[in-house]
Amino acid sequence: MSASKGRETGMKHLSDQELMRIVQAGDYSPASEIYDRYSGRIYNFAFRFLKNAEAAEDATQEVFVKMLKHANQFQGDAKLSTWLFSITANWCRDHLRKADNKVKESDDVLVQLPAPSDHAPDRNLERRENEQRVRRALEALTPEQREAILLSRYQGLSYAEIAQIAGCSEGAVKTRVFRAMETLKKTLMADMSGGDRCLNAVP
Amino acid sequence: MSECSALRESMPLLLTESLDPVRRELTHQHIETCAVCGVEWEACKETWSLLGELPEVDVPARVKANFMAAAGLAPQRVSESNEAPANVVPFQRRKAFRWLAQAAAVVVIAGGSYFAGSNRAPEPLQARAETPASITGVSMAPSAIMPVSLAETRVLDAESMNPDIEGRPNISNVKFVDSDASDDKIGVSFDVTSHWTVTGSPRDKSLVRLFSYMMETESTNTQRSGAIESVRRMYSDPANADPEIANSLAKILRNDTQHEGVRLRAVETLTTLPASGSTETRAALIEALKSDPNPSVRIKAVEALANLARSGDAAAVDTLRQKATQQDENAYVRVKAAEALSNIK
Amino acid sequence: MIIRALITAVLVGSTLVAEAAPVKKTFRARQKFDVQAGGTFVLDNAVGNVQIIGTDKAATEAVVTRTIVGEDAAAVEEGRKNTTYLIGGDAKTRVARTVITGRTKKWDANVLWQVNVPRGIAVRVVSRTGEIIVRDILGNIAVQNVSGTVVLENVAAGAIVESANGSIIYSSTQPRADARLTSINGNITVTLAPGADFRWIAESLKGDIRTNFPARGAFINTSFRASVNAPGGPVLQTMSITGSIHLLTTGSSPQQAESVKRPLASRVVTSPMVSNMSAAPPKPQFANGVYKYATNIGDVRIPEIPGNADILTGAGKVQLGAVAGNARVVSHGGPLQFGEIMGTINATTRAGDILVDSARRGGVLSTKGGTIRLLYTSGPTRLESGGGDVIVRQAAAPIQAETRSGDISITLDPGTKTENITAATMKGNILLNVPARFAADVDAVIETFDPNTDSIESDLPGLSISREAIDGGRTRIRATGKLNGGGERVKLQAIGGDIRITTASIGPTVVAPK
Repeated sequence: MSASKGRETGMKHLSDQELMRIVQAGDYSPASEIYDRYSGRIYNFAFRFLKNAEAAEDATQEVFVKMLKHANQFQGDAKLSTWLFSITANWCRDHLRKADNKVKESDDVLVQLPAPSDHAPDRNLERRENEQRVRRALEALTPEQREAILLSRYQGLSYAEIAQIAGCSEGAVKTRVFRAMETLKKTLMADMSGGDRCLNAVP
Repeated sequence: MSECSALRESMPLLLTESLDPVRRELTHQHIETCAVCGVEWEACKETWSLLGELPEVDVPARVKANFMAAAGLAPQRVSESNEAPANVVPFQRRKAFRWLAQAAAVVVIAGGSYFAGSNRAPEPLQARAETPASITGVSMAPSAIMPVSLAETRVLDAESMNPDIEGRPNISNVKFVDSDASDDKIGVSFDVTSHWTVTGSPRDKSLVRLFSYMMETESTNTQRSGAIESVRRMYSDPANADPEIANSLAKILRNDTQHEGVRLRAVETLTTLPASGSTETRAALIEALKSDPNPSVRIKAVEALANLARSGDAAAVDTLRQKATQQDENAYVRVKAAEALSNIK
Repeated sequence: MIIRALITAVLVGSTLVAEAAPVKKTFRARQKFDVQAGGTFVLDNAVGNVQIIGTDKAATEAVVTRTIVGEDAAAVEEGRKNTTYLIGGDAKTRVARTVITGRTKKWDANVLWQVNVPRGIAVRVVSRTGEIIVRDILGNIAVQNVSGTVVLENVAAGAIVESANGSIIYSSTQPRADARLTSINGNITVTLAPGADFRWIAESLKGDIRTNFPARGAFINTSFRASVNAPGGPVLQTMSITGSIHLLTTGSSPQQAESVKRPLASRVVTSPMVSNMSAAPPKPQFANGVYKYATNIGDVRIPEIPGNADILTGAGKVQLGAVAGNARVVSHGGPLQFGEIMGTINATTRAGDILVDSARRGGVLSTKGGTIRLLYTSGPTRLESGGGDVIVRQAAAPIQAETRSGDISITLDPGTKTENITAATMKGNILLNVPARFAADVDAVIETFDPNTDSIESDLPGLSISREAIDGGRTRIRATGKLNGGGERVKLQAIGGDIRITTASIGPTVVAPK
């Protein structure tokens, strides 16, 4: 027991590449550690991409199962995050392609709101309002644009990485992000001038 | 104008600070001199920062449990597996774990610690060590650690035992018995290498732990709904209230994505338990109402939270408020949330 | 957090000495403080009324009145000591809060805040109970409470009110920014100048929505969206579940207003979520031998229907006792519960469990998520759940059962010799309980990651088992063959679970929930 504990904590000090080498050798004991490192980002990406908590859960689970199954496809010098996001993005695109999943979207949009703090009640209202606005704005994007902006804005990936994930050129990523920003700007700024501005005016 | 549009395309790159220094400088210079682009840049920045308002959501705990299970890596087994060979394919490897786990469980029973403290067991558990085992999957275990035969049936009094369920034995064929409805004793029978029946008062901790284990454990899926059903009947009596039972149900509700039927029963049973006001229960109900994909689970969670909200529980009230106003939620859930709120003084 | 750190406690000094006997005592204190122009005043008063009034003066003055009711003088004194207030923050964000500590049953406290503030600042109020009045304020306003009326009078900037049970009364001339007024169980009344231009979004699932403004709009799902007077302008959002919403011109009364739901009443059947959502129980309409009941939000409970039944609900629980004919039930959300249905049953709900005592002629039972329990059927029956167990206790007819996630348990009538049964679960187990002489051609398949745990077992002999590895590291186990010489087709499919064909009942009797 203590040996395995020691081993588990030992995992924490290994790099992504080292962990993947262990997995590639057929030993899945780093699975939990890798999951802990990336599940949050994967889940959040999928959740925002698909607008559906249930599908995001499925995506997260399957991405990590695939990671184990296809560990050998991982190039030792690549960034694990990029590879995982490729798998995730593929999964999500497939998911959206299936017609019946599209129907479900609007039904299952779930948002987990942060626990309210009683010190700043209307900061919460404001945040909630903004959140909804952002969610709606993101929904107005095409899947390609949404993918690009999610990876750029929330995951901090470079255009080169995004290009790899999306399977397109860097130039295409640039255009997608730009178009996404144009649309977002239009929707979000229009919202603001529509009068919701009051929410932001409260410090 | 074409310069402007080219620069605007670079604005997102400027935001992520990933533009090379020369282009960055040029772009900034342009923005300072070109009023139109200046406005665009401000809007761009504001949009970018507004996007940051989208909160990070937590991955539900069950996703990890599911992943580990789907990959054949039940978490506790992984930690036991440090000697497992490194070159085995995944889904076969699980067999080895399971085999190990089962063998471990058998050893534990043979050592007597599963029912440690048993001072009135009819006979020592090691008594029939020579009998070959007949449970599928365990038959490969060396006969030396197979202490008892399935053919045997033992009846134990819950009072006389102290189940220390650490080896996570693979319990199967679970049945609930209440042979004499007039006394307050209940019983549960099951197979772990041998056929056991444990009887006792529902208030007996040993029985409570056994029930909790059977409800939670994955390997007895077929019996889980039955276990929960029995718990509902036995533990909804306030005299038998036990927080451990409620906590087990809360755990199922939170973690068991695999079986919506089981989750439904868990939440249904939670609402009937008198001791369901614990922090764990409350958190599980709130999470279920917020994010369970099954609308019927959410309906039941609303009903259960209504009771908590009445006593002014702030988190419950807040969740109910959110649900009532969430326009993409099923109208019935919204109305139920509103009803629950209307009872608050 | 910063605010909290900056809070400086102002202890309420009181020279009153508790005298013998009074059960109720009032302590009044006056407090001056400043809020800079463009700043915000935040008040958190859990118990008691709040009045915040804008003035032309630069200073802010609060009168705090604590009323303590105790069982004796000592209890009142204890209550007084434990009921204090804090004023903190800085001139930009001034925070005031009622603090009640060590509450016992011996005393009860109520704190009234009357605050005069400079007109131009923003105001936020949080409360649990008590009436909240905010008047003559030019800045933004945010109010949150559980119960107690919220009155916003002569305000024009942005407003957000979130109440659970309190009514909201809002008046202005021409709003300059958006207002979002939500009271889940309270009424909302908005009064504006007749010429005001704005966009209006109103939703009340159970209450009425009325106005005497020239609102041009339509329902989109449950929300009424309209433009009032000139197109554009700020958005006024009014949302409730059980309360009514009134949008009135200054000086008019609710009686002068018309319901925006009523003109659409004729659509009640085809578009149940939209129109007349009165809380009154539905009245049956009898036509062509069919008893029709339609309600948008509300439970339907009918002990007996002497003919065919056609029930429609937007959201609500449907309970039918005996139905002499066929029953067709559609619910957009809510559990369904039926007694004896003599004809065929066709019941669908988008959310909730379905319980049927007896379906004489079979039919279809379908839920998007929930458990389906059918105690007896003697006609071909299809059961579908989007997630949840499917349980048939006694089937004397063909059964087709399907669930996306959950166990399926089917027990055949003891007299059944052979029957066509189909059951499929995407995640879960299947238990088919048959008489010992049951004859069938069986095709049972499970797909599993864990072939050691999940298995196909049969109490009756005649099945042969094959295994193959399939995609995704799963194993497919298939059992085919003839039971008792063969008969009708039994097709069972379980992913990630067991299949058991038994001849004796397993586990406890499934008891239907109340």
